[in-house]
Amino acid sequence: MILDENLIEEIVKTVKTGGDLSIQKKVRALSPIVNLISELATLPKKRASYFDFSRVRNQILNRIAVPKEAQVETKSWMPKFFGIGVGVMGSLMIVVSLTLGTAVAALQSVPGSTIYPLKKVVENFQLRLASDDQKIVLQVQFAETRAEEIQAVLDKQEQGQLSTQEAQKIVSATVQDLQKTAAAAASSAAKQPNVANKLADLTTKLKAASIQTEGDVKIEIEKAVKSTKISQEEAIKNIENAGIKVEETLINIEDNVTASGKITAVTTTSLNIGTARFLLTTETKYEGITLKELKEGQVVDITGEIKDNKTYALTVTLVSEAKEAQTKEPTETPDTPPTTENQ
Amino acid sequence: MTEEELKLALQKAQNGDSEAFAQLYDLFAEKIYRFIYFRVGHKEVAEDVLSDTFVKGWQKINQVNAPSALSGWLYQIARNNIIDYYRIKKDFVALEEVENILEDAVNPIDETNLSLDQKRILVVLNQLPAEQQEVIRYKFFEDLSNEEIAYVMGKTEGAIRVIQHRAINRLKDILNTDK
Repeated sequence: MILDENLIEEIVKTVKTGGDLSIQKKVRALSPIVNLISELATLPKKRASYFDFSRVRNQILNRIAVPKEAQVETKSWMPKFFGIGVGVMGSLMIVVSLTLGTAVAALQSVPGSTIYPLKKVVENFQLRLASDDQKIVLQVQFAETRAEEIQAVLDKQEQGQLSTQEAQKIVSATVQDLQKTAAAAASSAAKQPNVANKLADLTTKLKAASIQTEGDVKIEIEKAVKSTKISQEEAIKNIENAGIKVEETLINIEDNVTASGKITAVTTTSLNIGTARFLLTTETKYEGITLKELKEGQVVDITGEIKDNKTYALTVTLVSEAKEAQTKEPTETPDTPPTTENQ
Repeated sequence: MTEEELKLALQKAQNGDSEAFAQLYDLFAEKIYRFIYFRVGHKEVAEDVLSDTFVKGWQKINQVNAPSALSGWLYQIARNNIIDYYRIKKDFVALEEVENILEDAVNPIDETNLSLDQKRILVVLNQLPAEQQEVIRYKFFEDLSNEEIAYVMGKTEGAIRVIQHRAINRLKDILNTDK
């Protein structure tokens, strides 16, 4: 019997589960090991001080609940103190806040700014005060706002106002919010079938945002794309279950993306329109132009697909030639154009 | 909770279901609290760190690929939160110093009820290299699984098995020599 790490692990497991070790004990070389492990496994342990399991549980739930539904905690002292309901109190606070201009500024703020948390507070009050039908509209609207905020954060990152790490952190938190809000909207889709269209728009917006990113930030946005798609499918299922026919175009959810604009950088393996980077492969098709003729400054339409967190160009169509001053030959890279399979 | 139920709760939590996440709390809170408590030595602080651990867990739940990785991953977040707690508490604490605090805050072993052999083992344990001591403590003092230890120590599960193997053999050898 070889005393390797697997045998030791097996003995540890058997001791911990109170299994039969009579065979191992009979083997002379194993006996001291079995005894040692048995002593270790039966060491008397102290109890950790009792903790308030339910209080911590509620605290966690309160901290993570915003803004999925109208789950703002009711501050019981407020109605008692003022003799009015929390809803009215909320309205008053918003009115006062609006008067001061703070809420307006908050509603225009982007994640990462100091005033941004107030935006969530305002949104939650809006949800609280809304009727059930309005709530669905608001949830979709908030999801769209989150997508716009992600775009704003990406713009800030591109302008160098945010580091990649900061952007990733903010985008990650915003994506979480977006996932919750989109899921909440999808669950009510049967009442308002246009939710599915809105979610489809949202998916497209996020795909567009994902093109201009890379690394961890891209992964975060891809997560958002994936979850809005799931919400969209959920919404379609709910609508169909309610006996309403769903548009064919909505059912075909694909991983395609499109972009149009001036080429800002080009190599034999990739092409940039601004920060949107498309990988060129042997499967990429060119219309009105060839790979060798691609130059900076040319205006092109690109259709692409997202695969494994990368955006591949499927077709590149020339829209207009570049002005002479802007032209630049493609940068030669040692690699031959890769295929989608080996990427 | 069965494996299937855990998988479902994780999936739901990853899709934004906070009630499903609460089920994960119900399952792991006791273990994680114990881990934190023995390192901060204070009930209220441990509760705060526990709360932060699960809130961070919620924010990053999509990082978890498999239900089996969940508890180790939570231990890892808890460990980082404990380090943050000590860093905030003192203006500047060297990482090495924090690592010591992490291991020494409160002894989870009730030393008043040890057998003679166990007393000897605890004395001899201090002669082992730090890494081997750490694995033995996590495994036998706190009943962490190899996967959980791997997350806490930032190593692979295979590496933990190897360290455990070396630690036990070393302990056995020292105990034999002492006799």
